[in-house]
Amino acid sequence: MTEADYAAARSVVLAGGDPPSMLLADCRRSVGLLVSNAGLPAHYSPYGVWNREAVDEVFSDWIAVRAVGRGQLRAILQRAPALKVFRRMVETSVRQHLIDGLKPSQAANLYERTVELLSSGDFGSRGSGTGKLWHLADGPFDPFDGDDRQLLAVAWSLGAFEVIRYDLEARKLSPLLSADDLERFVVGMLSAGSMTAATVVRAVKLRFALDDDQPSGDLEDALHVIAAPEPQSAPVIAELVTATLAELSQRQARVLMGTSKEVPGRELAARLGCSTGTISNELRQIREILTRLGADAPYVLKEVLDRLFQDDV
Amino acid sequence: MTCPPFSDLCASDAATALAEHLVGCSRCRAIVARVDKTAEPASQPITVHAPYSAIRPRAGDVWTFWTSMADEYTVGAVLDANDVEVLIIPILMEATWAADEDLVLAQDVLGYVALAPVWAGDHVLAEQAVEAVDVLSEKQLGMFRNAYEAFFAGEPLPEPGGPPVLNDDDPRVAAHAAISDDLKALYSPWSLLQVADELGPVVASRRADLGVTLDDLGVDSNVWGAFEGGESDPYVAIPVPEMARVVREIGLTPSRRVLDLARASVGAHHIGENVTGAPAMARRRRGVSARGRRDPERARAAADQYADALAKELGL
Repeated sequence: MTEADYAAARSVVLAGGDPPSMLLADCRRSVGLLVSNAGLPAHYSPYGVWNREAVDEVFSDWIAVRAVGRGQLRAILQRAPALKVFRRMVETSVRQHLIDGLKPSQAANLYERTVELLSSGDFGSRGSGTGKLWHLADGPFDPFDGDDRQLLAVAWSLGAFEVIRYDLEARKLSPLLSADDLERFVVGMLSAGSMTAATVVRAVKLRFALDDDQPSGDLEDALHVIAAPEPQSAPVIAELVTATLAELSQRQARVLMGTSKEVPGRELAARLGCSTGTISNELRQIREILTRLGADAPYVLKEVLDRLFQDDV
Repeated sequence: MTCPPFSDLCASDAATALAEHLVGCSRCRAIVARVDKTAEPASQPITVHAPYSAIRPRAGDVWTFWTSMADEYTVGAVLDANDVEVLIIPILMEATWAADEDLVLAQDVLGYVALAPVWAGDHVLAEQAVEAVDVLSEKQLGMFRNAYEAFFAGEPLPEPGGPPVLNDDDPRVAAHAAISDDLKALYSPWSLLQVADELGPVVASRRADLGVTLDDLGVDSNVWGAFEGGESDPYVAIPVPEMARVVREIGLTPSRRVLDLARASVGAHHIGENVTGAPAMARRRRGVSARGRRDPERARAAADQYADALAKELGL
């Protein structure tokens, strides 16, 4: 696809027309190159490994759900004046689509885990059945009477959480939130008033944008999906290093390098010409990327930093 | 500047085609060093230039906006516009971080769910407007205006897009800081031209930001020093092509605002030729040459003439 082809296709879609096949073919090309050059790790694949069928399925699903269904293709085209910008934004969108797609399957046992935690003895309760109101041992005891909006405000106020682990070992456990993070979340929510387990789970779903309409996935399916290679094996680590580099933005890479050298946040912000809030935001996103690597994260991070500093020299 | 797409980093000619970017980006250098190269070359480089659309945005339009400091356009809802500047609220694709000072646009508004950070509304130059991509209904424009007015009046938004931020632990605080930083590139062409009411001090401020000396620019430091100090008339002291060259070299966006500033510089300091030989003043000190009286009409005419010539030189 040439720049002129792109400009023509962009005009067609922005004028309300269907995306030309040439444009879709270029999107398919981007997905293929991301896969063939390890820009997407194998655990992002719907089959746990990448092959032609997996690429086709990811591409088709992205087109149907996100690009067309949610209007993201139009949004991207509005913002991308040139082909290279379009390709970069498509790559980001595809990657985000795959990450989002993994959330629902991991939310399946959330209610059970929450009830189990609430029943652990550290929390008080009154009432029975699904209407049972849980509270912290030392209160508050009054029921939380806010709407979804207020519930979400409380959930946001609890700070950042690292969600979803993808590596083989962790994925068997499917924790959307680790046990510690789930407890922090539940305690934080109950600090705003007593709640039913369903309300707490509702807060999790609102806070982490888990869509009830999406299929929640079956544990057996999830296990079947994870035909990943040995996490410790060098080829897998090598692939994850490339995928991690591909997922990091330039600024995140610089934040990561600065943080590893223990450069204070304020100084790092000055160096990068941004605010300390932006540094915090980038660090949160880096942690999310690393969390998705699960047990492999330390190996991958070391290698990523080696590569970044090696090339920096 | 943002990174090229991953697919370009895999291209056969990545090392040469992307050499300029690779010099400053460890992340992309590391990727280029690792990936297998494809047979295809990298995408063609983008020619970033001012679009200069003949059509100007109007309130209620949704336009894309350009800045030389980013390769992506920003989409924005136009709240107010004239020939010089446009007041917009940016529209972002990622609505996750919506709080009570944002609007969230449902998919039926633009075709995709979007975030409009009302707190990030500001001006851009009219020359940054690229193309109209949508039009808001009266109701939607009213929603934007009401939200903007409420925010700047310190009142709650009538239809907030998200729940309030209750404390600094909320990750939306940092996310909003990042949005604000990312939007600096969009707003800086306008804000760089607001530091003074004449072009000379604006040039001085920009030069100081960049750490560029007058010698670096190859101009007469006496002439330009007086101009930057708001003490001299560029009409008589600085040729238009030289002025245009400096404007471009220090990264000021060629725009009507630049012309207005140049017009103001000439208008404030120009003295009509026919009054330089004014009658001698009784109390004039010996050795001090006569300073002509200002002729407002002639000053205005000279200012317009200079601004028109500068407009041509800048391609406006």
